[in-house]
Amino acid sequence: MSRATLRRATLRRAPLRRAPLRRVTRRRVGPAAGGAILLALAGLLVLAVLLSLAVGSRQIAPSVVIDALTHGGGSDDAQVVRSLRVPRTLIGVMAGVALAVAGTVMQGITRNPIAEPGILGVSQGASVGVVCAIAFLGVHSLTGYVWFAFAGAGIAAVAVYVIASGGRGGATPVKLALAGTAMNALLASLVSGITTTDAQALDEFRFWHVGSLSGRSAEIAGQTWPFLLAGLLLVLAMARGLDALALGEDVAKGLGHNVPLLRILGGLGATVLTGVAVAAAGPIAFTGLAVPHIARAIVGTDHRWVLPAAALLGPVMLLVADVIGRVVFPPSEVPVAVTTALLGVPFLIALVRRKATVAA
Amino acid sequence: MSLRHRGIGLGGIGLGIGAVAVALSLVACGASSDSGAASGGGTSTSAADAAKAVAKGGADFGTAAEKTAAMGTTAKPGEWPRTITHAMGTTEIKAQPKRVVVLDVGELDNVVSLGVKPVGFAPSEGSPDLPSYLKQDAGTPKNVGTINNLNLEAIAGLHPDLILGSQLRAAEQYDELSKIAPTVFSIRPGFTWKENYLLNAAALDKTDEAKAKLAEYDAKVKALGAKLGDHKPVVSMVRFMPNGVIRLYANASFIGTILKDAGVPRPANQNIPDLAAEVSAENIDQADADVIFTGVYGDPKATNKAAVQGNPLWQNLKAVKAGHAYEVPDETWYLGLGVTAAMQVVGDLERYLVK
Amino acid sequence: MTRPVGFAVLRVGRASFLLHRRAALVAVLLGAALALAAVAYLCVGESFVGPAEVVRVLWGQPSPDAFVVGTLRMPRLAVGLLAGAAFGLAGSFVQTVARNPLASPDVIGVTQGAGAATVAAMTFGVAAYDTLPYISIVGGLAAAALVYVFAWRRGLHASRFVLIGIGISVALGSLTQLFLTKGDFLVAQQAKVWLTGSLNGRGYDHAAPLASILLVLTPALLWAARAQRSVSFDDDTATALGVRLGRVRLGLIVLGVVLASVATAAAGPVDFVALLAPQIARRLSRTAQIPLLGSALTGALIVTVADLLARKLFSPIELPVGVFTAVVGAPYLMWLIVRTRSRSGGPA
Repeated sequence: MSRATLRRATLRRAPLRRAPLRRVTRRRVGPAAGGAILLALAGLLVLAVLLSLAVGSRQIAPSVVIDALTHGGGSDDAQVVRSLRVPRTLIGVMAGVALAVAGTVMQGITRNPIAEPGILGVSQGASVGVVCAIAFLGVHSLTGYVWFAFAGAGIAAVAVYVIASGGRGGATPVKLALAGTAMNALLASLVSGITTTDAQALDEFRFWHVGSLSGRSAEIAGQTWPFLLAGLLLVLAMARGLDALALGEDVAKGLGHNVPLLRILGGLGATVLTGVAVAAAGPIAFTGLAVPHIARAIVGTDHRWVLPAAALLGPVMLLVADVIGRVVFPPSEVPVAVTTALLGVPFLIALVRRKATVAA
Repeated sequence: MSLRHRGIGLGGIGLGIGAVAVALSLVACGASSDSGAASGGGTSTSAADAAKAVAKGGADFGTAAEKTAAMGTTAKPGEWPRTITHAMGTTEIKAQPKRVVVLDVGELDNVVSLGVKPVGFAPSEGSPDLPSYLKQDAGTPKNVGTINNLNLEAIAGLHPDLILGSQLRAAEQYDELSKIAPTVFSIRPGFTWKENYLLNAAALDKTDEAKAKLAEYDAKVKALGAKLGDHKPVVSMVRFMPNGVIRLYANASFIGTILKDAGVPRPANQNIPDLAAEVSAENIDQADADVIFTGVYGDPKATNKAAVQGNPLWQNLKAVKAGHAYEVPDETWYLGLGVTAAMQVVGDLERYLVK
Repeated sequence: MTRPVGFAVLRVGRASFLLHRRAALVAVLLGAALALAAVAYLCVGESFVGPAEVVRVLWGQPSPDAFVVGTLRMPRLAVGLLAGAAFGLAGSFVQTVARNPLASPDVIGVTQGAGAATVAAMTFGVAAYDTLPYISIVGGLAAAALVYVFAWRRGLHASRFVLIGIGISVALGSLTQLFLTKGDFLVAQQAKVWLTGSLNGRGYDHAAPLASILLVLTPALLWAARAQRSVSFDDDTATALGVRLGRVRLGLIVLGVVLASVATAAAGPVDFVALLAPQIARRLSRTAQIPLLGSALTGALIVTVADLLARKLFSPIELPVGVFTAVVGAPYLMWLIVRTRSRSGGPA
């Protein structure tokens, strides 16, 4: 039965009745409106940063927060703001930018609305890379193990994409999600095998199993930004091609784009960005999924606006999720990856439901 | 569901706004329960309280020591067979046990301190080896799984004649274990360590030796109290756990009982009839006292010890400024559950506190 | 590309007539393999017990190995066999309804729902240990209901069902993490062992509810065997044949979810068995639809062999059985995704 039904299922996709990408394609914003929107989003980011600086298990008045940032001071409250909340917020901002841009690029080059580092198992690949580097090679600094994060992310991304596009009909959302699920399950079980036999590795891995912003030092924040910049530059180099790719591979070729090169550059950029985010904060899912869609809903499909909008919204989502995680069960903290997933899944459901058929 | 009728973007934005609203409304709750933790180490809601009580031994939590003390045997020294009353009922032991399997560090410490080399031992998941302070006298017990994942076949393969453990850890396996060999369970490990010791000793017919060891400990800890004089320093116990959890150990813990025996005063937030109070890194100033002893569970890198101690907030603590914050071995101070560990802790305390 | 509807039905009918003999033969062979695996399971462990001695114990004759074989290995084997069979059946129902080999209770969140509910009960201490199976069943059913409600939109489309299922299972996984964060540290450690799906320490008291539920469900299973065939037609054919598809589908899904939840309650969330077993059984017997008996036997075989490896490979440390089923199952799922090409390779 499955052979026939699979075929039927794929056939049903054919009449893309309300495929959102195509529908929204008509929506574009002018430079003035786009600029105004980006400004508003930047304001939102500032608010999120302030929220992240002001809210936590310790009660600190906003005026004290601002005072601590502008005038310094040695009071305990000021120290908490400067030495704990500032690095944490910085890492949240950087990881948010990285994940949102990575998600946007992945969705663009795969032309698939559910492409995202977490769902595709790319984040988990990066985190296994980091764990191996720490456990087997004794690498303990971010600048050292970030390379292993890149390698892990790259291998997982290529494997998942090759598997998903191997079957009939190319990399459909269902196949990508399933391949990603399989990759996540495989990596998780391998790791749980290692950690059950080698108890010492267990504690170390727990840190990398669920993404979290807590306990990250200013030093890590300082080491993260060059890699983030490198990833963003890679994306920038191919960003103009994303719009052409959205129109289809043939159209992109017709417009004079080197499609394989675009894909490679984009894939590399997304891999580096995912690796950076994981090396700094651990695997965090759903930010890369939700943010590009929200960005597109606000500024249309022109990547000139989508990319910066996503880069501004990504940190907003991550910081808000982190703040929620800080205050629900004080004094314990809920890791940010847990809250982003709980916020992101309703989003995925809305996304899937909104379409008459699951396609694109 | 309403999301269905909205656009993706609006739905997403709605979610975002909702999330912010939730966050803001929760700030208030967070704040109120936080002050609760500061004053008494309590938790936020009554539901959480109930859950905590069950997790740490249920209704027995407060009375576990008394109940364990009432267990044991009425048999005279050298009298076999003897019947032991314990947490799971009564068990008859035919002759003095020669092959003992211990299911936790506490039981390991107990039997080793009584001169028995166990044939099997279940280490904790975090540290697969024998505790270093027991290595010398413990012999070479075979590994029988881990505390939470006992390998019953491995235990059966050792043909033990006594199995020692606790209800809290292994109640579910009691039926099978008791078919392998007479099995004696205390109620729980931890602050009931002295009572557990006597219970284990009763099964081994070494009650006199155990009492002598406890008397030795008693004398040592009382002497320490005397040396510290009338102006004893207030001692705070900080333990870094994985996932950024920081615990301030309170009275109903192994270390809490030792400090109490020595008459050492504790900060108000640790002077509670509970295992520990939790604080976050941002509130580490609540851990302040005259002296701070820190431990780390498992791998320090899995905890946020480095972040906390590198933080000026930590440097601002009274004890840290005065150079009275000491790192102590976790395996005796916090993981330790028996008299050998207790003696070492008292020795450490003397070194740090008596100048 | 689509075959004419009538022709497809004819072919299915003809094929099933031709292939039933093979399906029966496969079932017998699977049964034999399972019997062999079960004996091996009873022989191998910390100490090796000869097959002859195992048979003596099974016949109830006195033996020095009666304890190890009869008291330690037998109950655990019973839980593995029953849970494996239940997972296999559960997978075959859900996959048939979703008409997608990739939809299975462990992919769409049923086992995760059962897991989240159980971990919540464990870490918050709201339930006694003997009520955990029921909580697990409620959790599994609730998760399935969520997926069903969210995926229902003018019908139940297979792709939407799977995507939403994956989303729900991720959300439930996160909830589980949340409970572990909040819960007591020691209890959380116990919950983690349970979470990877472990048969260690499972006994007849875990097997009994599983066995009785399978027994009670036997009439339902017989109904399902018939119903499954009608559901595997496409909508038009089934309607033409007078099958009330909506009800039949709902019935099969509920049955599948109950089986998966009960199995999870007994053995923990053992990954991928519900996915693997029906597909392997279908390939072996080369039938168009998923063979029920074959799926149950294959599921039992997978769990038995996986637990044998989990017990023996790193002895005396026991790995959770879920590690082995995932290591085998995840690559198989990937292969399944890739393989869809060769099927459609011809005409397309």
